Amino acid sequence: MNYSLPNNDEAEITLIGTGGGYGESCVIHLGNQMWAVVDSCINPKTQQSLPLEYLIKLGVDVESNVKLIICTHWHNDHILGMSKLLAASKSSAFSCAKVNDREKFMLWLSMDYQKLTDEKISSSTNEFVECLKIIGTRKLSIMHSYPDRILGKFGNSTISSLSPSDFVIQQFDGEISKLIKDFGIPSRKFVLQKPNDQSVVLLLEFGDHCAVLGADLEYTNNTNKGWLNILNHSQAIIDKKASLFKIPHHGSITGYHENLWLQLLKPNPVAKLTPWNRNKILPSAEMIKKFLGHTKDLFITSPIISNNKPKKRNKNTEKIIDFFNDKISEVKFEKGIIRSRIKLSDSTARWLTELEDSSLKIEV
Amino acid sequence: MSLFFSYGQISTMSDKISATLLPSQSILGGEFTENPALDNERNRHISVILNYYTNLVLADFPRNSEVTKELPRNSEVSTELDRSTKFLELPEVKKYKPFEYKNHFDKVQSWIGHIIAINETTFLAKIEDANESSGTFEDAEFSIDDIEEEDKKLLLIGSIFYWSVGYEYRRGTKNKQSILRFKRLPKIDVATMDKAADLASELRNINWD
Repeated sequence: MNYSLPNNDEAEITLIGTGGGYGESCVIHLGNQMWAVVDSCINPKTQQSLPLEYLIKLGVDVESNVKLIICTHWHNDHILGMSKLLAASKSSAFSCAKVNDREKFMLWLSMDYQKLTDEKISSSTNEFVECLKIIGTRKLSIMHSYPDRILGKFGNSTISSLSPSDFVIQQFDGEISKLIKDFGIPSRKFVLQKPNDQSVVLLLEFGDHCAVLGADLEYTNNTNKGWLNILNHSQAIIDKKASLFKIPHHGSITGYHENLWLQLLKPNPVAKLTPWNRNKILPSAEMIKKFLGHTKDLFITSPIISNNKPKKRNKNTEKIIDFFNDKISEVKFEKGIIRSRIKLSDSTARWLTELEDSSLKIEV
Repeated sequence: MSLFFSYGQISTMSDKISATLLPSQSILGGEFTENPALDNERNRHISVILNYYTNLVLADFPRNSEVTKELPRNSEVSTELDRSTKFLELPEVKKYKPFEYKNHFDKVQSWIGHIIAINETTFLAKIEDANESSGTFEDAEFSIDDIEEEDKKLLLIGSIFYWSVGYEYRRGTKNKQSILRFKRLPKIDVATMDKAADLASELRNINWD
């Protein structure tokens, strides 16, 4: 992969994956050296934000030219490293899912943050609070993401959020109340039960070209939330068909709906995804077959591998660990980058996709 | 036939007793085994000599010092050995001091983990090396049966625990050991709550459009 800046007349969508455990992120060039970043992930060995590393390697003036950072949901595999990215992106706005009861939300965040201050645990709460502190210091406003909201216009490019739905936003208020009640048990981490419902799906418009980034949004029979809510109610997607798609939720069956591919995407779009190489391996062979039924341009950031071995340590340590527990598996770090660029001024142009590190094209 | 100690060794053959001693503050104990090549009386005789030495505290020997002396013949020694008899010229002999075992746990590896799923007989956890500030993490499955009874009430999604494996030294023996304990803390105190409230108040000042 050639690490040079795109032309001003080129759009870019780069998916960075880590194999599942350390997150995923999309870096977007909106034209004219204006950039946006969706989510963040880290290299666990250096703890550095991978989208930030990528931007620096390209030669982007991160301080001035990153204009928007979007947090699709505060799950560890989408937010780690975001505070470092935001700290470096001094001209950036920040957006996350809408929260109705902000008083309660801030109290919950502060309580969880305080609880985990002394623990060496990677925490999405801590990362999010650090982001909020930076925003507070800069006296910025947080932009809410909700259905059909334009988050920013950058020349001929526009970024809009398509979710979470009003129903999910309202449900979240109730969940925070329950979590605050649970705060009485200090030896527990807060665990959001259904954070994927709150995922922010994004519609990117680059002149005549469109892309949809599916975050971790899933499909349910309830039309008040998930993909059905977008397909049935979104005004922003009318008359638009995307030629590039970030497949949601590591290509799980719950992130798939056939109408999504038929209604929202052009035939044979560029489709990208990150695997989930942890306890439940994603995507399954069955889902890959389904995706290949919709596109010939299917890319994944690293191979789908089930690892059942613990970390490498010295032999004596390995022996004693194995003596007590032979069901330990290291969550491997497998960095992969899938970069697609397209000429903004050419409505007939197609995405040119390049691969780096562990990423690969999936073929029949 | 010999007695082995942590810091040295006293050994006997049929006609000699010898001691090889590393710098030492004490003899830590040992075990006498009869030599089948010798008759009962000789064995008993050697046993008395060895027991005598194990009840002594030897101090400040030159490194790797070695002393050897012929054992008295059977006829010259009573099995009711006079404790003042010196078979070896040891540099300094202190008074008898009862041996004190020090039990301890040598940690080889430790993790901090939290529960991500609970099944019927097992639970699944994300575990991170406690002694590393960076690096990959691991997923581990534990049997619920391995959890101490009083900890089972703490088996909840999100519960934090500490897990260590290593060697336990107890009464002179070394055994592999695994210790898994769930985090226990009192209810949140007023000071922590105040800090959380202060932070919440700071964060509430952020504008949301």
